[in-house]
Formats: sequence, structure tokens, C-alpha cells
Amino acid sequence: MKCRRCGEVAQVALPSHHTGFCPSCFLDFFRGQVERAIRRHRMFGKDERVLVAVSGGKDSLALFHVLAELGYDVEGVHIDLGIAGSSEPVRHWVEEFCRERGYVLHVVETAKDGLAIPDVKRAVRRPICSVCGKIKRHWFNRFAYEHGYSALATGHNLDDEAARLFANTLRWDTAYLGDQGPALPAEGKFVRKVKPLCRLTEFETAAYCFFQDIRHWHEPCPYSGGASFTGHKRLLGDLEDTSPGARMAFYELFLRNAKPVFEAAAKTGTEELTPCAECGYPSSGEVCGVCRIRKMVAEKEGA
Amino acid sequence: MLEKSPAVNSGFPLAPPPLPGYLLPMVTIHLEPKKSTLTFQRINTVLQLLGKLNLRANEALIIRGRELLTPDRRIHPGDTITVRLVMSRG
Repeated sequence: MKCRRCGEVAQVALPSHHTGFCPSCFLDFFRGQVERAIRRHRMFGKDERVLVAVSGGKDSLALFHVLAELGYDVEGVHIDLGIAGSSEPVRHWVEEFCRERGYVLHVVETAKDGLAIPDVKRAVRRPICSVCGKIKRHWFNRFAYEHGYSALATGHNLDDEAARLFANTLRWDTAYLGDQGPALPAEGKFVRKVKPLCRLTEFETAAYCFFQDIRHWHEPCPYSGGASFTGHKRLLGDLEDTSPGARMAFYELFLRNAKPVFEAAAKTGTEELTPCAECGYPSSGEVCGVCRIRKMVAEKEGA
Repeated sequence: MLEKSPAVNSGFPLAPPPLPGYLLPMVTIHLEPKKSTLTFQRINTVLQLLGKLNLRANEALIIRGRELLTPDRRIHPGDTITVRLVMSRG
């Protein structure tokens, strides 16, 4: 297979685009897709400060790197979850990545907020992944808001977005379908949330990391039984294999044709958010979910 | 009259006969992130390798040295290939 642009030997085949690229042309393609997502969904401009949520996986590291390459004003935030034998090496990995490239990285330790994940796991009965996700989202938003960033960027890619859309569609979850998309505007103490990799697949992000010599963290979280939506990703992968481009069409056509309908429907049934009595961040109850978890952990540890 | 052999007539030495499959160097496959290694007697293309591993084309990076291989590329006896799965694992 030859590169569509320059005729060199292709190293990346992209059936969904009916094409293949050599490393150099693939990197141009990748940056172009990120720029296109940012522009089309009005995510942020070059004069705005953007905070990138960095977990240490390929998607977040690729996102941080490509936004810096494209000249955006980006800094990273990593959340140290306090999981013995896991959080420490991941944090070190992320710190090394940023130090080597001269990127600014901030680290938030949940243990300092009374929310070390092993303690949380002992205190709550719900699946730990959903609780951990809630704590991370709270701290990503809180850090971005308190430090004056214009937007919070996460490394969700097309596979993540399509799998999430598929899950929401199976349940016809109006509220989630109305909310889903690559850019969620700022509202009150919620900062703008953006997903600049929404036009790129996991394969493309992995190939970008390979060509840019970005070594990413491979080990799964010891508490995770596997990534969320893995089964849905496989189903959509099978579909993509027989109908290249189906995944992108599913997501893009949802954004264009269906999301506005769900958005309007969701607005009518949305409960109003009020400031949490303890942390002041938006909550559907008097005290937000994260503050309730903190209280449960304190009670369990004190018992 | 004695007949000369065609090889001598053409002026070129005889090409060595192809080695039987069991004498060819094995293809070594490193699987990531599982960190396991497999060897195969004979695999001709990346597509065949993906088939043997039950993978779809864009489910893994197929790495030989410093290059990625597309499904149509040939794999040679003695090659060392890394198969890096791309799906996030949480």
C-alpha cells in the first residue's frame, strides 16, 4: 500500500477514509483532524488557557502532545488516586513525560481531600469505578475552575464517544443523549469540557504515539475489571470492519441530526442544580456526591 | 556424444532448492500489553498474522523495528514482530 499523499510505502491503513499514509503524512492527517474538531465544535482558541486531564494512557498523552505541537496554551493535571503500587508509578511516568518535553503539570492528590481510592472502596458499596470517575470529574473541573482555565480537555476518542452513544441509545437515555458531544459549554462553576480527539480512533491515537515516541502507561487499574464500554467497542469494531466509516457516521450524524432534539427534550426535564452546602460546587442535592462520599470515608475510618 | 547439463550450458550456477518449511527461521511475535511471546513456523503477510491472532486490522499496531506494517505487508522468516493491542483497558 502506498501513501495517498506522497506515494511512499504506507505504514498506516485507514479503511474508514479509504486511504493509507506514510508516517509524516499520517502525522499531518492526525493534526488536521484535531484542528478540524476544535474549529467545528468551537472548543477553544489559541488565546485561551486549556487544562488537559492526563491519566498517563495513550489518549491523554497524545492529546497533550498534539495540542502543544499545534501551539495551544496547554497545561496538564494528573490525579493521584492513592492506590498502592499503581498510582505512584503512573504519576512518575506522567511527570517524566512532562519534564522531558517541558510541559507544565499539576498533580492533585485525592488522599489530601480524604478521598484515597482504597479508603473509598472500603467505605462505599457502589462499584468503585463509577465512584472514582465521579471524584476525578469533580477534581478536574474544580482545579480548572479555581485556576481560571477556559476549558478542560480530555482524551476521549471516537471509539469512546461512539461506544458511549451506543450505550445511551440502547437505554434511550434522553438526558445523557442531550448532553453527549465533543463540547459542553461552561455553566456556573462547571468549566467548558472538550474532546479534541473525537474524530480519531484508538488505533490512530496509538499510531500517533508510536511515531512521536510517546511511551504510555499500559497497565490497567488494579480495581478495574476492564475498560468501560469494552463490549460495546467490540460490537462497533465488528461493524466498522464490515462497513468502514460506520462508527464515524453513527457519531457525526447523531451530533448533526439527533442531538438537538434530545437536547431540547432534556432541558424540560432537568432538575435544577444548587451549590453544594460543603464545597460550593453544583449539586442536585443539598450536599454533592463527592462530599457525601468523603463523609462516608471519614465515618468508616473513624469507626 | 555426452550431453551437457542445462545449468552448465547457461553459465549460471544452479539456484539452491527452497528450504523445507521446518528448516526456515521462525517468526517471533511479542504480544503487548500481555507481555507474552509466540513463534510461528510460517506467516506470509500481516493479514495472515492478524487472522491467526483473531484480531481485526485496526485492533493492534503491528510493529517491525521502527516501522508499522499495514495488513498487505509481507512477513519474512526470522522476523520479530510486536503486536500492540490498542484498546484501553481502564
